[in-house]
Amino acid sequence: MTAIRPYSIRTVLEWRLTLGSISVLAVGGLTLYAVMRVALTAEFDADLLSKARALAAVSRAEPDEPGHVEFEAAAEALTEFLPRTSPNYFQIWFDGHDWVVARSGSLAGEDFPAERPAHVDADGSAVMDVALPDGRAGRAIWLRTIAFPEEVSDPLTGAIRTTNPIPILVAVATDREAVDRPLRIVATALLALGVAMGLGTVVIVRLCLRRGLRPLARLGSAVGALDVSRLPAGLAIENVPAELEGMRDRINELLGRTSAALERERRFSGAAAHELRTPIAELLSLLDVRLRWPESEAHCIASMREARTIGEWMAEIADTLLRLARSQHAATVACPDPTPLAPVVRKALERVSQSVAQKRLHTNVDLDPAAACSVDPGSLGSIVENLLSNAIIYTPAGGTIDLVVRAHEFAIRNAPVDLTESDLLHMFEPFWRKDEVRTSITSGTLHVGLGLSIVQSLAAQSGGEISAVLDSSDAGTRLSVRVKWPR
Amino acid sequence: MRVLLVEDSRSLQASIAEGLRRSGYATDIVGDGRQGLRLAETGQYDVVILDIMLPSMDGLDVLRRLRDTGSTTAVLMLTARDTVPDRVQGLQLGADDYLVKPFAFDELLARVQAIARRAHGAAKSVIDVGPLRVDIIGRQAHVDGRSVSLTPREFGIVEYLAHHVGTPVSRAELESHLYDEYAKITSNAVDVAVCSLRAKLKAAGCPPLIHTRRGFGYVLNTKTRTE
Repeated sequence: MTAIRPYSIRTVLEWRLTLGSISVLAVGGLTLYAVMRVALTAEFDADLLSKARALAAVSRAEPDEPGHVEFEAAAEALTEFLPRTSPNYFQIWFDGHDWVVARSGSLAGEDFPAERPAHVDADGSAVMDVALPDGRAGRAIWLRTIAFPEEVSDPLTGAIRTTNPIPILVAVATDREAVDRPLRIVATALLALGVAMGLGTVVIVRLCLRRGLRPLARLGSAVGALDVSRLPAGLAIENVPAELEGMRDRINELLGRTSAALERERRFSGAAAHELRTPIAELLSLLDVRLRWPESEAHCIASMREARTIGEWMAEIADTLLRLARSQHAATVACPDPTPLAPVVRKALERVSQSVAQKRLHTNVDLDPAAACSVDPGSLGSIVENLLSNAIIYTPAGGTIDLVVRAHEFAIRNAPVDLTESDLLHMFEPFWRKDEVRTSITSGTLHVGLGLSIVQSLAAQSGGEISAVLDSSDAGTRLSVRVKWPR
Repeated sequence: MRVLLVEDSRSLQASIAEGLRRSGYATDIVGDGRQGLRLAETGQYDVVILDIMLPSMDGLDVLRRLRDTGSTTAVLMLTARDTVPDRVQGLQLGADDYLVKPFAFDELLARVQAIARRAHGAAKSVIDVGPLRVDIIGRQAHVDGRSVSLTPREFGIVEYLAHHVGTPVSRAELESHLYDEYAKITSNAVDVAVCSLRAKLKAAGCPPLIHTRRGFGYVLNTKTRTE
C-alpha cells in the first residue's frame, strides 16, 4: 500500500501564486503587444490609404479622349515606386476592368502581386497582407475611387470642356517592416521583462510565503512535536499572528484540560490499583504463611475466616467502584414529579442509625416537611446516605452532625478531624481519604473513599451542584457539604 | 536477627510477622509512621520493612528522617505503588530494596535475608566457620555436609554469631536481635538456647566453635576456647 505524501500548504501556494502571477504577466504582455500591433497597423494602413488617395488624385479623366484616364504624377513623387532595392508598388485599373491606367516602375510591367478583394469597406478601401514580388512580407491597400475629369479651357472660345468621372481602382503595396520591426522590439522587450518579472515573482512569492507562513509552521511543529505520553500544560509559542491566536489559545486550553483529565485518570487508576493491591497482598501473605506453616486445624480455620473477610472487603471495593462507574456514566434521567426530601432523609438516618449509635453521635435535623426536588428517589437516597456515612466516619465519637433539608437543597454539617482547606480540593476525588491512609477491613476501618465521588457524580447527573465549605470559629472547625438543585 | 515491620494493615502485620518469626526473625510491629520512626531510630533492628502509605507520617518521610539521623539500618520499602518514579524516589531516599504489593511471602523473606546479609557485609548466602556451614537463605546449619536440625531461635543465634565471626557478642545484643517485644524472655533464655545449640552441634560431630568470653558474651571462631 502506497502512503500518500501529505501536501504542503506552502508548496501549493508557491505553485499557485507563481503560476497565477506569471499568467497575469503573460496576459498583460500579450494584451500590450496586441494593442501596439493594432495601433501600429492602423497607422500603417492610414499611411497606405493616403498614398492610394494621392495616386488617385493624380489620375484624371481626359476630356479630349472620353473614357481615357491620364496619370499625371510628378516624377519626384514616384521615387519610392521606382525599381530599386526594397521598392513600393502600385497599380491603377479602370474599376471593374482589367484595363490598367498606370503601374509603378517597380512592377517592371508585371501585374500587382495580389488578387483584388471581393469586398471593400464603406470608404471604398480594403487592406490585406500580401507577399511582395521580391519575397518580402508586405501589406496592400485597394481603394475604389473616382478619376475626376480635368477641366480644359478652350483658348479660342474660352469654353470649359470636361467629361464624365471614371471609376478607378488604386492598389498600393509596401513591405510591413515599418510595423513588424517595432513590434519585434516590443515583443523582445516584453519577453525579457516577462522572464525577469517571472523569476522575480518566484523569488518574492517564496520569500513572502516562507516568512508569512512561519508562525503557522512554528505552530504546526510545536503541535507535531507534542509527546502524547507526556502532554505539556500548553504550547510555549509567543507572538503568534491574530489569525492563529485563537487556535493557539484553544489548543492550550485543550491541552490543559486533557492533561488535567489524564492526571485525574492516572490518579484514579493508581488509586484503584492500590486499593485492590492491599487486600490482595493481605490475602496472598496470609495464605503463603498458612500453607508454609499449617500448624493446627484451628489455625487454618482462623486463617480461612480472615481470608473470607478480606474477600468480602474486596467485593465491597469492586461494588463501590461499579456504583461510581454507573453514577458517572448514567444518562440524566428527567424526573417530572418532585421527590419529597423528608422521607428520603428519614430512611437514610434509619439505615445509618447503628453506626451513629456506635460512635455516640448526635444528629440535628432541620427539615422543611414540604421540601422536594426534581431528582429520582434512587439517586436522592444514594446522595443523602453517602453524605451521612461520610460524616459519620469523619466525625469524632460523641460529635454532632447537622442536617438541613430545604426545597431543592440538602446540606450536612459536621466537625471533621484534622481537615484543612487544601483537603477540600481533593475530597471529591475517588479514593481520597484524609492522611491517605489505605486501610482495609482488617484495620478496622470500612471506608473506600468513593462516597463523595459518587455523590458528586449523582448530583451532576441530576442537574445539581455540590460544594464543600470549611468554617472555623471558637467552637471549632465545621465542614458543610451542600447539594443544590435548580428550581 | 530482628526486624521492624511498619505496616497499617492488620492482616499483613499478622501474616508477615508470623512468617518472619517462624523463619527465625524477631519481629516487632507498628501501624503508624511516627511510631515506626521512633523504633527504627533505636538502631536495634537489622531490617525495617516499611510501608509507604501510613497514618500520621508517610513511609517516605520516615525513611528520609531515619537517614537524616545517620542510621544505616537496612530498609525494605513495601507498598502498592508500582510506578517507576515511586520506586526511584524510595531508592533515592536510601531504601535498600523495594517490593510491590501483592507479593509472595517467600520473595519478601528472600529480600529480607539478602538485605540483612548485605547489611552485615556478607556477600555470600552461606558462611563457613570450620566444619560448620550456615546457610542464610536455606535457614539450615550443616556440619561436614550433614544437616543439623535447629530451632528458629537456635539458628538465629548461630546466624548472628556467624555474621560476627571472631567478635564477641553480648547476651543483651543477642537478646535484642533474637527476641521481639512480645517474646517472654527469661533471664537465662539466651544461655539456654546457646547450650542447646552447642549440644546439637557437638552431636553432629562439630568441634566446639561457640566460646564464652566472660564479661563479653559469646564468640564464634575455630581458634580459641576461653571458659
